[in-house]
Amino acid sequence: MTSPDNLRAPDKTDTKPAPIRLSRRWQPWVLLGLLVAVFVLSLFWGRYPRVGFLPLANLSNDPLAAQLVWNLRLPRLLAAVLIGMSLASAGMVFQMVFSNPLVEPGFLGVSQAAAFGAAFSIVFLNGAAWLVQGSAVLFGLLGLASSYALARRVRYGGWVLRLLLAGIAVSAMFSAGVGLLKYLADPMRQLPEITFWLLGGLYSITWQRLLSALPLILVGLLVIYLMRWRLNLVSLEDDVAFSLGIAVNRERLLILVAAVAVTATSISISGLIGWAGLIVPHLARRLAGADSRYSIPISMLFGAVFMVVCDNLARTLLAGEVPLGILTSLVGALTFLFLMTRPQMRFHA
Amino acid sequence: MSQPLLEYQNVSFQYPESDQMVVSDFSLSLQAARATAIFGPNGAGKSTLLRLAYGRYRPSAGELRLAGKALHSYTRAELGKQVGIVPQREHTPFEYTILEYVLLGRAPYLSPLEMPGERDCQRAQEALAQVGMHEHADRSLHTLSGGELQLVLIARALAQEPRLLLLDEPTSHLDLANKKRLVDCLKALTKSGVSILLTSHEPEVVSAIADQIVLINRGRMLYSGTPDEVWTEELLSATYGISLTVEDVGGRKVVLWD
Repeated sequence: MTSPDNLRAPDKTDTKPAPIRLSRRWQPWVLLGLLVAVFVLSLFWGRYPRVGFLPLANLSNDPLAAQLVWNLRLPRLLAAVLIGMSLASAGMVFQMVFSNPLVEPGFLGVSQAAAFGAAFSIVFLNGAAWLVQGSAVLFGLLGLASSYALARRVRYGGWVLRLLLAGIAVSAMFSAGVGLLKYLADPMRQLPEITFWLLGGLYSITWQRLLSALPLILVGLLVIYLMRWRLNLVSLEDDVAFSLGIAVNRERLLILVAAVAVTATSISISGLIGWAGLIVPHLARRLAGADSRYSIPISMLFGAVFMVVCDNLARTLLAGEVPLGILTSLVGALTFLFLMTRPQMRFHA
Repeated sequence: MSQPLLEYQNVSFQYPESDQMVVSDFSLSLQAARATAIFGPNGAGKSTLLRLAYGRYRPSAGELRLAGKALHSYTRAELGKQVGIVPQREHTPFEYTILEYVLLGRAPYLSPLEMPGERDCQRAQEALAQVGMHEHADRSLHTLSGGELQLVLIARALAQEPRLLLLDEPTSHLDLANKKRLVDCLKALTKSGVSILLTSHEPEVVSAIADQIVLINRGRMLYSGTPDEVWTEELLSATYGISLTVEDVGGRKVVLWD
């Protein structure tokens, strides 16, 4: 039966505006407030002296508590903030540059290559902190470059599919390399350190380690932040971007190098942390819309909150430490499944 | 006659590793505020002619001149302020609002780290008004029909404030109502002073818009003239290599095959 309601002009539903819940002007401030709150609470949250919040008074009368908060938790939290910002914004950059919402740095060989670089310097170069980091960054770039070069030679499918196939192959090659390095590593000294890379975690962050990663991460994040409107333009098809006066390849390369630099530097101090680079950009786009002028800052803040919360869980869930990479993968994958099964969520791959 | 807006002067083009000419010895002048259509079979070199016109390809021989100046002497940004393109289809994986998408057309006016400002938003709104989509500025790109998306792509090109608009088969996948909407929009644009160069496979679309039609095949110009001059049975039959009939229906030319 046709009721009068069904006879309405069909364009009624088409004219509904794109959903914007919280005005964009306030979103970053609300998220920043949330981040500061979570950050401060996390400083006092932990398993010392018992599970729960550390009483404020202990900071002045318990030297061990002060030491714990200022020299262990503070650098660790700052690292979580930076790593969350890095992985989330790099994920957004990758998704936009490759016009594919399902891409993240890990898919294109960057993460595995960076882990290989770190493991290589642990086994063969004695593993000084700066060497491990430099090698992780260098190999991360090499991983991206190999995926890119390989994709140009694949004679099958469209550009995005070729890139993904190439990325899978490059990732697999580097993880085979990591396997070989594990086999060769000294089981007492080197193997535990390599295993740490593969599971990911922030328990070994010290002020020194944090500061050594800081310059590259800050420069990379700054480049991404400053180019945030431009990122929209490099995500357009080549012909269109060219006609808008963009030096397409040069600008894509610049912003990709920034994204790889922050990813690989993060990995170099935290080990492999999966899924944050895929899931946070999706959430950020849902909140702020597709325009990367808004979605980049939101992605950074969201990533920071996500990482701090996951790391809190990692250090307090069990008496020992749960590797952070395992937690982010679990939380990320569950969120992903949840979003995928929402009717209004569309993935245009 | 005033100075032509765009001139192809004996232009030839071939891809670097190929010995086949895609365009050979092509010459054409486009006047300001006129619409020109390039008409011809698949693979005749139509899209290549458009790509030459915004500097995407450089001619292997000959030269293009825009407003009296060699095209290759323009910087990309300068060229972006003169020439806008509307691709046949565009992959839009992310859910922008219409206004955000049209705003991207302001890129030639902004330095790499600059954000679009009040003036750019205003210009984008005006461009949307020019194609009749200004009431939909906040709608998501993914709610648009094919015809509406095409109008939004035109608006993005208009936000560049171009003197020349290049359209690659703008109506090829539109239904009749949207075709008419697009044709009306393009006619209004030429009236307002924008020059149009488009490629098409559809005689009725071309004759409704174009002041000048260029027939090409295998990269060579066969004939150039007004619609009345070009829509003849011999010319069209020779271009496509099949027997075609041209009928006059209520003052409009219709091309029929046997």
